[in-house]
Amino acid sequence: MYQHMSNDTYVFSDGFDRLFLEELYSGDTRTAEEIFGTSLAQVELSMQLAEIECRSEDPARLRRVIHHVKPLFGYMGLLSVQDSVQQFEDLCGGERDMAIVRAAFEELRAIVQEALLRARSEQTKLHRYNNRRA
Amino acid sequence: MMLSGVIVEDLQPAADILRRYCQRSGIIEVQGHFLNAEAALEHLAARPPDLLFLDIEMPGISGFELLDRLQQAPQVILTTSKTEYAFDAFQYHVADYLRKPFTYERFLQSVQKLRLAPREADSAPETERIFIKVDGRLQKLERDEILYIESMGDYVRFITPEKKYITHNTIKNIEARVQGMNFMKVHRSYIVNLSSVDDLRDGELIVRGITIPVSKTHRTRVRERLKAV
Repeated sequence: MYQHMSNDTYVFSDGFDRLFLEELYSGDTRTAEEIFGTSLAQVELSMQLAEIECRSEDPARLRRVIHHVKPLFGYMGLLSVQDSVQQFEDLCGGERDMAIVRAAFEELRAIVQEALLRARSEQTKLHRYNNRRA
Repeated sequence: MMLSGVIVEDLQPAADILRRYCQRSGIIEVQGHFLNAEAALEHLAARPPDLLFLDIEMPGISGFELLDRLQQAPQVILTTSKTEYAFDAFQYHVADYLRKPFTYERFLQSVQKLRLAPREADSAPETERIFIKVDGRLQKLERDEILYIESMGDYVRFITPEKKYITHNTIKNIEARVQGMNFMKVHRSYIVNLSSVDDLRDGELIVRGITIPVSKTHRTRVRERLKAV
């Protein structure tokens, strides 16, 4: 079910940083829908690249790919996921043992996959809300 | 007058939001967006903007390397998702450093930090201006149209011959912002445009018929500055 306030203001779902999203988009739900869409597409692409880089022996290359994923979760109000990505990026910056990096990447991948599901659902919710107001 | 801006940013969502913020501000017209620094170089050399929003970590050359290659860098606001570059940013004399993702409020704060005369070296002092945030937008005020500035606690009022503008700020911040613009703090609550002073009396200045108090601690300095004008 969609959560709307009585004046039909869009309310982001539980688990998203509502206050931050409201400050980011200032009620512009069309922009929010668009940014969710482009962010989702870019995260999916970057994660595919990250998987390829994960097979290499160079954590720095993986770090560069992951670096671009990080703020995208911020644009979707998933700041805790952004923090998880930051931690992984830091690990890639200091860790030379790729076995440790790969293990951490598996954990990150699970977090990202779950976050992508939630973000896609929110984008759908935004889309329906915007269509209803059109 | 609009400021021209260029965005160099490899993250499309980041560039999209930034472009919208620029439009919403009403004072920055985005000339273009480039996904990497190499692509931006030619444009920046041919059509230098007033303002460059620049990511640091991008494919190919970095934002800092781009600045190294520019003969004349515009005013720069760095946009990055890392905080580690703050020291380098300081060395490059950038106007501000925005950590992605950032809100519109944070964006406005950053734009307000810009040195107010675009391409300072080419601008005569009389073109100096200040941007203040009024009702969520940035309002441009030319130096010469500001008569005086008055503190109202957490707010500051700019008085011009035509209108009064109230912005959320402190007189201390504003004093720093107008330094070198022929303004002077004459009282803990007043900053006066020295060019607008009509008369100096004992403990008072007269600006367009309005009496402005001058505190004892400022009187000698006010007399000195007015003689110099």
